[in-house]
Parts: sequence; structure tokens; C-alpha cells
Amino acid sequence: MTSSRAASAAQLEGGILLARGVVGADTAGPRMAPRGAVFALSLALGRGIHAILGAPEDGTIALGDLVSGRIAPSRGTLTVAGRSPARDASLRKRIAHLAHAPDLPDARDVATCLDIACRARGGGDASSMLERIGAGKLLARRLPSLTHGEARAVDAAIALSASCPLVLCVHEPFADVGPASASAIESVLRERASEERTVIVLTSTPRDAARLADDVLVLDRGRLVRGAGAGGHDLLDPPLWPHARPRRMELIAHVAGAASQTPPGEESPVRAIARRLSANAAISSVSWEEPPHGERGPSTLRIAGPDESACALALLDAADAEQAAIVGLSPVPATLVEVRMATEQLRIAANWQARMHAMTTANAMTLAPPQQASPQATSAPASEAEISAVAAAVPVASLEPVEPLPAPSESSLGESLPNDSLPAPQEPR
Amino acid sequence: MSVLSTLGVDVGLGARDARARIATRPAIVVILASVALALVAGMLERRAVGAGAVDRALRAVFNLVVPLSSFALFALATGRRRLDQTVWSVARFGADRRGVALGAIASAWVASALVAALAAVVAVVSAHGGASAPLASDALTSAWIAALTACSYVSWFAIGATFLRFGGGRGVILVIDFILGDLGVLASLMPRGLAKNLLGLAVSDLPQRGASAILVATAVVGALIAALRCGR
Repeated sequence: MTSSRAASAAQLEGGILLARGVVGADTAGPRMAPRGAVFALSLALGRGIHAILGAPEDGTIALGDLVSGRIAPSRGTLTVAGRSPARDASLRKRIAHLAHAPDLPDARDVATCLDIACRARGGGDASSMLERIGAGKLLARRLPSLTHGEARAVDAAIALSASCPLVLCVHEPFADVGPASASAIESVLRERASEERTVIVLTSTPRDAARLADDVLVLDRGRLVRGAGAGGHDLLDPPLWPHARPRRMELIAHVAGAASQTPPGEESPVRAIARRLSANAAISSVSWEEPPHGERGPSTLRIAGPDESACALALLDAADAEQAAIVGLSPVPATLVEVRMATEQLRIAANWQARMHAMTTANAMTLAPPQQASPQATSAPASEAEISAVAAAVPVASLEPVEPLPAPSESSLGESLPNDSLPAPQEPR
Repeated sequence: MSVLSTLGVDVGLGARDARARIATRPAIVVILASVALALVAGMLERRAVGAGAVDRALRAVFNLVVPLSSFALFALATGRRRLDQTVWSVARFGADRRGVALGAIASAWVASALVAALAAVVAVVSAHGGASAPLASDALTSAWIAALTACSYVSWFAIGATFLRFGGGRGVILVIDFILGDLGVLASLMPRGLAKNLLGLAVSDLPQRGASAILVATAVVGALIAALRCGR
């Protein structure tokens, strides 16, 4: 009892979100039909920025609705600071949610709408936040006259202005927010995270997820299937599937100078670099684009190869040899399709290894004499108090087993969660 | 005490939210249509047979204008959605869904009661003749009965709006009231039968005082049931 109370106190302080075997569907489809759903979702999120990568059809809207309390889980439990957002109105005062579609209180103008929101929440200064994110001119507008993006900007201001929120859950915070500035929104999100709040970014853009979050989780068809560390760099790790083709790494370089800026008869710097790179074995493809005639600005060079470091090195060598200046260099961000493909390969690999494991166990059982199972070998689901205690001790985030091959003997939070949260075997999309 | 004051704030916010939804152009159309129908009914009845014209005009108002105008105004107050979905726009910021729902129902009560009372007064005035009861008392009595009936309708629709997708249950309530509203046991529960009892057009054996008490009770209890069905 005492340890449970201590865990609850720790949760309250840390604003932790706990989901255990949660099933729930949104109502964002046509005529309120479900657009996406989450299945057997188990995770624990602590302080910091967590990105959950997936499309609405993967359940990001459903997850946002569950966290905000709009819908209650049809199975399982989801708690924030030990309480259910769907059943506790006072808890919702401390949960800020930017939904995929604005659902603002009806009022004559934006100022009145913000006033209603702040009164309901019992504090906060949404008008100042609207100014801060660069959408202050909306304050005097009539509510029905707002476009979808402008209404989302108002919704974003309300969400971001929440004073001491336990959880701040934002769905695509940089997309379709009208006049609001993405950089201002990002700075507020980082500010909230630095105030030890739990910030959840639901996005379908790997670039946003990687740029913003301390950790990236991938939601695929309603299940959390894998995670990536800060920056999401390992989202596209080579899959475990032994025969899978490795991904080509791509780099984009901005090279100073263009054909229109070079003397007649001379080769432009970008062309010279491209010519030199085409002879390099580390580079498998080169393409370039120069600014239109009469326009100044850097040319863009895109190179690809099996090894990112080798590509970058070859590029620098070529630029050095041609005495050309490279003004910018960036990797080509992964697309959600690529993340999905990599995830699918992980899923197939996990299935394959699980089957192999089952076959090996079955063979061993037929060969060996029957033995009584030892208590340590059975994997009983952990109690809520156990999960709470472990989750409260986790500073940033942890989630259900994302490893393709679960290791029954290891002790971790993932292992203490039920096995129904494992990736499903090859469901047809 | 703090629970009550919080509930009061939530009710106020819900009422404010619903009022903004009602105060739109469609509401003006509902008001004008209600008044026009009541006026036409009164004038036609007065021209046809002078004696009992007020009763017949009021029957038309209570059969058609009051339920339809209440239905339309409640649909506006809820934005043609389920009641629990309507209140979410305020409840998402931490207000209790039940309090916000009560506020929304209260706003719909006020709007529907005013429109129904206005329609009843217009019907009485337009149908009034030499043989009719004194105009002022007749209009006043009809007005409060219409207002009470409208409140009861709104509460029934509120219960209906917690069922089916988009709150389609309120349409089911309207149909039940039209078909069975003055028959058998339902006549002593549905607003149509109770209102007719109050007007002296008895469809059941209920005394007038009992009918008005049941109207008040259905309005209050119905609102509470609808609010409770919205959850927290």
C-alpha cells in the first residue's frame, strides 16, 4: 500500500502517462467512422519530448483522443498521474491537447473563445500565447470566419498556454497551423519539456519526429512496434532479415556558384564535382540542379551510396579538388513509407525468429523427458503497481517490447508488460 | 461548496457555449416560422368558426409548432451532434461534462420556452374573438403552458441526443411523441399529452395540477439523466 502511494506520488510529480493493453478507436473518419485505432497499446512516458511516428490510420488520432480523455479505452487502462483523463475532469485541466481538427468552444470571436477555454481550465493566458506564436492578428477575428489552419493556430495557442500541464499532447504541431510560426511552436514545446513536462508529439513526418524528440516511437497499424533513440537516427537501421537489401544513403549538398555565375567556357563548380564524383566507387548515383538562369544561389547536388560516411568523404575530396565551396550538407530524411518498410522487415524478422524459437522448443520438448516448469520461467503479467513503480523510475521513456526477438530471461520494463502487446504476425494492410 | 461553485462555472460555460450556437441565422428562421404558423392557424380558425377558435389554434400550436421549434432549437444548441460530443469543446479544458451539458440544456430551455410562449400568445391573439375568454389571462396561461411544454420537450430530446450516432435519438423521441404522444400511458409522460391536459383538451384522467407537476418533473429529471449520460 505504501509503495503504491509512493509510486502515485512519483507519478503526480513527474506527470507520467501509463497505458496498459489499451484498445480504442477514434471517430475521425467520414460520418464519425473510425479512421484509426490502437490495439493492446502498452507504454510508459515520463518527462521530455516523445515523438510517436505514424499516420492517422496507424492510430495517432486515436492515441491523442485517449490521452486527452475524449474517448475512454474500450479495453485496458490509460492513466495520467494515476488517474483516467476520460473520467476525471479536474485532471483534464492539466492535459493540453492540440487535436488533428480544431474543436473550439463556440463563441462570437476568438478572444471570447480563448476566454472560455481559460475559464474552463482555471488559468493560462492564451491571448499572449497567440501573440507569441505569431498569430496575434487572429484575436479580433470572428470565430466562424477562421480557416481550418487559423482555427488550429488558435487551438495550438490554447494548448501551449496551459499552465503547469502534466501532459502536452500535440498532433502535427507544424502542419496546417495557419499564420502560426513553426519555430515559435517548437520553442514553446522545448520550453515545456525543459520544465519537466511530458510532451507527446504525434506526427507522420519522420523529420519532425527526429528533430524534436528525445525518443521516437513508431506506431504501426495501431501497435507500438519499435523505438529509436534521440534524433530517431536508428529508425532506418538495417533490418535483421538476413536477405534484405540495405538502404542506400543519400546526401544533399548545396554548392556555391552556378553555370550562370561562371565565365563562358568554364565548367560550373557543381558540374565539376559531379563529374569527379561519378568516377568514385563509393558513389552509386549523382544528380544536380542549378538555379534558373539569372537567379543567384547555391546549386543542389544529390549523391547516394551504400555508406553515408564514404559519400560525405568523397564529396569533400571532390570539392577540395575542384576548389568549390560547399555551403550546406544534410542527409535526406527518411519518409514514413521507408520507416514503414523498415518496420515491416523487422516484423517479418521477428515472426521468423519467433517461429524458429517455437520449433526449437517443440523439438527440445519431444526429445527431453517432461519436467515441471520452474516459477522463474513463467512470464506472468506484472501488476499495475509494479509497472507504476518501474515507470516512475524511468526518467524519459520506455515502452512495450520493441525488440523483434523477446528474450524471456532479461528483466526490463518491456518484459514486465503483457505479451499481447507484441507486434502482430503479418496482418494484411 | 467548492464543488458547487465549480459546477456553477461549468454550467455557465456550457450555457455560454450553447447560446453562441443558438444565436445564429437559423434560429431567426425558426422564430419567424413559428410565429407565422401560429398566426396563420389563429386567423384561419377565427375565420372558419368563431366559437372555440382559440382552443383549435392552440391545438395546432401545441401539436406542431412547439415540438418542431423545440426540436430545431435543441438541434442548434447541440450542433446536430451527440450531446456528449457537443460538450467536449468545453469539457476538454477541464470542465465537467455533466455541468457543461446542463448548461447547454438550460440554454435550449430558455430559447425554446421563449419561442413557444411567443407562438402561443400570437395564436391566442390572432384567434381571439368576442366569445373568447379574456385575452390577457388566456394569453398568459397559454404562454406559460407552452413554455413549460417546450422545456419538457427539450429534456426529452436531450435524453434522445445521448443515443445513436450524431444524437439521432432525439429524432426517435420526436416520432414517438407525434405517434404515441397522446395515447395511453405515454400521454401522461410525453409533453404532448400533458400539455393538452393543461389546456383542457384532456387525453387522460390526470388533473391539471398533476399534469403540470409531471411536466416540470420530466423537464428536470430528463435534463439530469441526459447530463449524467454524458459522463464526467
